[in-house]
Amino acid sequence: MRDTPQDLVAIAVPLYGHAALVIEALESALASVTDCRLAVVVSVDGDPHHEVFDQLTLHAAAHPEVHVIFGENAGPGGARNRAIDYILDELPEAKAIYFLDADNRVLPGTVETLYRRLRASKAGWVYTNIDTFSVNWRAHYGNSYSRLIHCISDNICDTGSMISIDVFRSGVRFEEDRQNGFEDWEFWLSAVERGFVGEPCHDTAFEYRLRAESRFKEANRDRSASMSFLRRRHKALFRRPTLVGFEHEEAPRYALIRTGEGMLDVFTDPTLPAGQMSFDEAVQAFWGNVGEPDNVHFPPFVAACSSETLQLLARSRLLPNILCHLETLAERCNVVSVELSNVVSQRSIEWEILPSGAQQGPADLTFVSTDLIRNVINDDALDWFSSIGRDQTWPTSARLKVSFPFPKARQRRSLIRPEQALLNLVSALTTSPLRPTASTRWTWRPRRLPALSELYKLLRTELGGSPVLPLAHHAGPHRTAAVLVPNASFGGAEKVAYAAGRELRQNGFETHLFVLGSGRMEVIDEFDQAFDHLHFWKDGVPAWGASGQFLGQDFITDEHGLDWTGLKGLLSGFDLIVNNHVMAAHPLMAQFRSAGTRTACYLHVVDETAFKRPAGQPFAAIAFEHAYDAFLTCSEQLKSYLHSFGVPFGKIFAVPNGAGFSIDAKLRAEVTEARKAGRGSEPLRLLYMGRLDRQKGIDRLHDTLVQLKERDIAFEARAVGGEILSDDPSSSWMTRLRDISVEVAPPVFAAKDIAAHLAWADILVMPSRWEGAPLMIAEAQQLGCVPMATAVGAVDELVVDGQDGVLIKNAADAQIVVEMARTIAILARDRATLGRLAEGALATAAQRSWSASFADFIAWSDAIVPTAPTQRNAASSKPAGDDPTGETALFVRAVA
Amino acid sequence: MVDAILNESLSATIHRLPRRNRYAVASIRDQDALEASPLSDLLVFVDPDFDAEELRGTFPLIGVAASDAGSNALRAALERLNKLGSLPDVPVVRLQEAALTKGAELVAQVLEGGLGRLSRHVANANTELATLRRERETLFENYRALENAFHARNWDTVSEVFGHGPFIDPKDQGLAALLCESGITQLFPISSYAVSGFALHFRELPKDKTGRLVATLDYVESSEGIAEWLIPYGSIAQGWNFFSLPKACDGSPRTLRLRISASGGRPPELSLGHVITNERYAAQALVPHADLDMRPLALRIFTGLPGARPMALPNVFAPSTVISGRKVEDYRLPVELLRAVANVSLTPVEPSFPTVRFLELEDAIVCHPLSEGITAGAVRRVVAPGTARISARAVIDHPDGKPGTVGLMLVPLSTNIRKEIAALADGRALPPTALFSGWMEITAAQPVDINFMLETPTSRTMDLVVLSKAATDSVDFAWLKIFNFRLVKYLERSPVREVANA
Repeated sequence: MRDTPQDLVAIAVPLYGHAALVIEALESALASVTDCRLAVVVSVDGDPHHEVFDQLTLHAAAHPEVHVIFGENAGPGGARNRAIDYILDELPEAKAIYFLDADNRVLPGTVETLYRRLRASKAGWVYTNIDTFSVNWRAHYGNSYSRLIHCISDNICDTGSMISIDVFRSGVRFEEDRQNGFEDWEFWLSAVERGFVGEPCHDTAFEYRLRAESRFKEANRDRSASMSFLRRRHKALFRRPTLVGFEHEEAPRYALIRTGEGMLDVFTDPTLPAGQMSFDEAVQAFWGNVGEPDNVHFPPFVAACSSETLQLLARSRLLPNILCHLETLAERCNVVSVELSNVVSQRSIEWEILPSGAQQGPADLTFVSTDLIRNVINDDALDWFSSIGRDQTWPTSARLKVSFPFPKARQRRSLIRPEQALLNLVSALTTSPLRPTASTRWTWRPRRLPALSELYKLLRTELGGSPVLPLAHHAGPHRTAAVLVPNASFGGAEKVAYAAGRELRQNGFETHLFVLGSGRMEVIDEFDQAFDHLHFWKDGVPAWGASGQFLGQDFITDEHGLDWTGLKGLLSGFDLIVNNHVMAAHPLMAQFRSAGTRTACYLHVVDETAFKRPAGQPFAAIAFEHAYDAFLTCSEQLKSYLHSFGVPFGKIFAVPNGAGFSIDAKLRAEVTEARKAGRGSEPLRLLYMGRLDRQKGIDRLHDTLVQLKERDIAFEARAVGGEILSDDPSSSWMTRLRDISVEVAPPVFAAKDIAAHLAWADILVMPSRWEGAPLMIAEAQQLGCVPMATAVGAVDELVVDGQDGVLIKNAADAQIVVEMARTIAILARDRATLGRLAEGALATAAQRSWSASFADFIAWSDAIVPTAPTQRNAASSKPAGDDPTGETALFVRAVA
Repeated sequence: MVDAILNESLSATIHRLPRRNRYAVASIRDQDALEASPLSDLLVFVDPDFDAEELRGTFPLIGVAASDAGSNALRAALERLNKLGSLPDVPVVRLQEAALTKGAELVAQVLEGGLGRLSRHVANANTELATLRRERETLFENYRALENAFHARNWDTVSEVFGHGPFIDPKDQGLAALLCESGITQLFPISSYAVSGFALHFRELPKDKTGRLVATLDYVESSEGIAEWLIPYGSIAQGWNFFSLPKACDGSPRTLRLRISASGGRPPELSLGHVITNERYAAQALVPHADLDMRPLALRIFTGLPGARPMALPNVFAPSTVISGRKVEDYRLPVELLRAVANVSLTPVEPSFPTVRFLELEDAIVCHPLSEGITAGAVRRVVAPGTARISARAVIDHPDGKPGTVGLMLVPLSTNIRKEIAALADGRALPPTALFSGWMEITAAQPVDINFMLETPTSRTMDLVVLSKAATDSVDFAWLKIFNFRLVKYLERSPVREVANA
């Protein structure tokens, strides 16, 4: 007698149309040799043949372990679900369910072997290879289970698998919609979405009856429709972070040799714990991948650098983006070198392609594709390749120059060049004893899976993007937000976008800044920590395009020849995208949105052409109104304007602009004190800051100052900004301003420099012809500098005339000049009024904050739920918590 | 279980063992009347508004009504059941109130008795049917293969379909000890279909040729055995040796698994091949061994006519045993069991030293013969049902040890062991339940291998008895040690399981 009861395993047999074969299935199940108790549950799916009833009546009478359910026709999924529910209700002690189709058979050891493996592995299910009979066909489904393959390649598990009862207790069931021909595939994806994984077992099989025509064949005829169904139903699985997470754990894209350490890191997401391989393991994986590419993985890209370089790159927040650039360049030339530069004020990524035989210096990081290494070995071209370690490089190469502010801590210099580390690996591969036998496949069943090292290409196809941003879901319930800007200089629009990023980050988002169309970014201290990751993509992303017209305005259509795959690879899979004037991104938003991303469009200003036709980004965006969940504007005025073009108010968040920099309490106190004290009767100080161009009203400023001089008003004037110089120096605004004793200073971007100018001035003069909601007004107010601005755009939302600034009514140029000169003259005389205005400006600034401005938008974005599958600890049936330590690392298995 | 029910009186059965399956339906209107009847345990009561989407464990063979209203309601309910598709028309029997019990008993008897007999018969027929269908599939496939070969005039007797040559690494330690201690397993890298033989490479032969190489071939997926080869060391040639299968493998293509071990002295040195990347197909052993790291055996695999020796191979080994689909378990007797050896000797001599004991450091049983009688050590309950072969090695471990004789005996658990030993001592025939290997002479100069092959595998658990007796007048220093017990067990298919929810 046994001391403990044997485990109960249920065999579920859905039955429709196989009246003549079901007995074979049942007999094979009952002939199982196992230590388990067995219960066979036959779920008759409304089979119209009475033969079924007769057979099962007699069979169930003779075999008490056979349970029969007669049900209405519900399709294969419905019949299986009926069996599952029966087992959960009537056989609650069952530990696992094995699905046996009524026309198939199990071998005597199938149930026992699979159940033992299930218990030992703690997987959600254990599956076998496929061997069919009647029509002979065989398939080898890999030596390890891959969720990535299961999602984007094909169904790799037959329902004839041993499935833990935990899977069903977690609520996973078969899809009953018969329009979907892949109900079995859909079932496994549901299990994956709940955090379960499979485990292959090659030690047993079942007998799969294959006829000339089958349901599988039928389903494959309508494969694209079924695939669409799967993608819609399992959005969380088909998102970039999920798939990249699977790739990271199952088929890592990059192998990185740390110079001098003799180990390779293997990873896709550089921010997650990497797997590690010794050189020995790498050699085995490389050659294993040659002979059995479906069983053994070797990363498709190999890099080499020192640990110090890697740390530096990790802290730069540029690493995922750098990897994207490296992938692209490695597909255009043989070898890519990375050169790092320490530049305090700027981040930039630039590259150049060099021909064969080019001279170049040592690299900080070297990057090649594994395909190149294979070719080098096959073509016996090691000498040719070895030149990468010398001054003259014979392979074609690219040099990626990356600049960013290095951390203050001193970096150790590596004494081993990355090129040499890479050469060492290639030499080790070339001379390995595995090389002569590597081409023989020892696994005898035919390969049915894609090559593991080619999965990154399948991933590109799945997402429609290339390269695919190597970032996965990170631990914890972080949502991700991407803020897109067309350039990253010192403009107000960029600063507002950075402010949005900062607010999102403070509210729990992992933030990404994408500079699309430019390879550089100025460092602005105020917002430098607003983003967790920074990305540049310069080529193939035009700032403007006119492949279509909407209301006579330009917009970019799908037919435009820009780098769609690059953009899709970078931008897919975020929980939120805030598009801040990136025209090229509008056509992609509908696709991202349907894949689960919430989309927002940030607009700042309606521009004017030389003929005063309203133009600019708002129109290019309104053309894609339906593709955005939300619009952000810098003013109520622009909000109304968008509404007039059919954007519902409920979708628009008017976000009043704040200052582009903040000042500390000490400076604020000093400024307040100084403004209160006033400067007596000293000449009034007038400040102009901005481009010296027509939009900003530089001509109006000039004329105003001339009038003031004519009226003998004492003032000092300073113009800070640059201009585009023409050939005729006499037409230069700089020259003309200097001619009337205006101090002209070059543009400043650092917060302290801007603050110094504003603190110096009594009045900030802004005679612009058009504006959005200039940040400069808020910046002037927070330093008690009185803004005097033409009431254009949303300026009147920032200035209350006579309270915290002066508004000059928009009129003809001459009228504006007269009015500005008159007002300045009054304030020059009436210093008390000027003081009240300065105090008013300070009071307004004290009440203004970006957090308050963004509050409604943040509340909206708080409702965004991250779309991610359940994480489940490998060693338990329970979903994992937030703790990223330990368990995450456990998932990173060896790639060999 | 059906038999058990039928062998008892009906009423007793019904009340003692509630049925899981129900075969009769009645309306809920008749529930009071029918619940007390002999039919109650076979009945499912249905509501007139019955609209279930499924029936669980119910096989409505007959409808029973005890009233007209019940009959009408039942018919309405049965109409609704038609949507399930599989159910036949169900006849409704109207039982009269006056003869309700009798009528119900009659229906119950028909259902229970008739159904029981029919189901038992059909169950047997189904088992046979499943076997026949499987055999027919194999026949069809083989017939077609023969026909194809005929049409293609494919008269090649044998052709090599896979080869992996030997590779001698100067650092190799050799596999001889491993073969004796645990054995080596090698998977074949091609489908089993049509495989008719394989060849192994031996790079070195021992001087002492006492012992046998044991090779078994089975299918991984089903664990079904194919054949076993017991090859005396002396038959093995240096280089490639061909092992012929009894017939070319047929049926579904599967993975072939070769297990090789040795019993006896130092075995011939098996050759390994070059390193490969797929570790699943590298040679495996229970005991880690440096030579096996990523290396398969040197191996050639052939298809063609069974028994036909490939050209240039020096010999061919036919299988010693055709296992024909049984699962084979080849295992060594655990030391923990040997430790419990009990002295059951039958001798008038009272020695001053223990003649039967377990030697901890050598994992051997000492069974010192005495000048009179039989020295015997019993190890209880170690021979499992299905055991077909027991082998062991014996040695007289003293240079001056006198010769003796040694043997093994298997006896059922309930047997008086000394009584059987007495029969042996007297030269009487043993009862059919006890099995004896016969006596083998042993001298200090030469160890012997005992190979006790049973005509039929044992059907029950048995005790193992090691025996020794004197061969000459003296037993001085006859320190007979028996060790390396190895059993081969055939597992039959009949499943032995508890029944779920029966």
